[in-house]
Amino acid sequence: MKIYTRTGDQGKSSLFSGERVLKNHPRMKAYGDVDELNSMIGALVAALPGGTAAAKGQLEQIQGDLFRVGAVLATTPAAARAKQITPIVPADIQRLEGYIDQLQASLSELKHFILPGGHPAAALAHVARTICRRSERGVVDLMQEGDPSASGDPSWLADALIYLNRLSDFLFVAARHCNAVAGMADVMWQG
Amino acid sequence: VETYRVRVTRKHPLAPGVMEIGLERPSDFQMQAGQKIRFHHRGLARDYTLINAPDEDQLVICAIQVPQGNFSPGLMQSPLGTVYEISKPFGYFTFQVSVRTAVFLATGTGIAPFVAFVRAGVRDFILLQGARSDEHLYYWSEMMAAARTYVPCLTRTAEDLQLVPETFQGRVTGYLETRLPVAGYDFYLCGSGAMVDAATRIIDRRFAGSLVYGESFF
Repeated sequence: MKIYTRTGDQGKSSLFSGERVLKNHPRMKAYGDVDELNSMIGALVAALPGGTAAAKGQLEQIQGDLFRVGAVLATTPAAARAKQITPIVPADIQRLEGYIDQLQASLSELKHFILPGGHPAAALAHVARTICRRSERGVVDLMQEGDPSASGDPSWLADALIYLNRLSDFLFVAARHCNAVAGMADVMWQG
Repeated sequence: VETYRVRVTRKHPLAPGVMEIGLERPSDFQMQAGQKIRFHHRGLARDYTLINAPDEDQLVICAIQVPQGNFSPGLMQSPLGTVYEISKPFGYFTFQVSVRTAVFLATGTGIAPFVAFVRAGVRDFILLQGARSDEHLYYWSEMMAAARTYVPCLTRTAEDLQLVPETFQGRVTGYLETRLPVAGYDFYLCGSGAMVDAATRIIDRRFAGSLVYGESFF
């Protein structure tokens, strides 16, 4: 099967719910950011140091969750096709909070700002964290801009937003975990 | 259960190189009309859309023989009783109830999901079915009986006009471009990637506000 299509050559693309929209539509921007975030997490997984098997499993679960976040963002809730997707629900957020608690348990308490960086995997986790924050802003834009399609089931976007907020916290902790496992100290900000 | 092992129970030729193949249905197999299954065979994976109604007691696919293909020749020549490993049903190309008219565009064996829709009870749609010649208008009589408007689109002159009473001479995209009244529709596109691409571009230009669901298989 050919990977390329020409249906987007005029600057339009299809939402999962079937609407043809411009590629700068708030939904396209929002799920594009989530796609970028997922790809960066893939790079992070590829760069993980040894001794991080648990984090690897968590990150792969999160990558699957992000497909579901993307599907929520690419689907107008009032659309007929909305019933085909599996939105993020509070149980997913609780699972993510469990991951944070697991990784944080072995880390020292942080009393200063730290510079993003250290082991390559930690650096990638920080980049992923910043993309995650942008993804959050995209969801907020979608909610605020009065997109009529956002009104079908507000809990979908609200739960996706909470998930992304929690995920950025997870990625911060994951960065510190990677440095700790690799034997690299966090670099404190001296400002 | 991730996969099932099922036997070939029926083989029925539709046209030269095209065959309907029946498979036994596992007892816990739940599907929606328009979904596919994946065959896993000797390291190969091939997807086929199911054309049976969701509650039928067998699974049915419509297979076309790909010359020098790695899988389809063996599948079509396999004797009854041959066992294949198949996946659970998957895919999102399913019918969505809507207040707007549904327009189905199919080329070749891209008719398969629409056959499944009809067998699941979908009616009152417009179908543009494209083929080289009328012998490749698979399921045309069943589809014509269910459709509000059925338009066979043939790129060659019809050889037996008794088979299909009224045809459009040209591609399905030609009919879309020149004949289909301008309105907002729910479009369902299934066939070659080239057809899906071309049809989508025409829809963007002529049928603003329509929904587009696409499934391309080569």
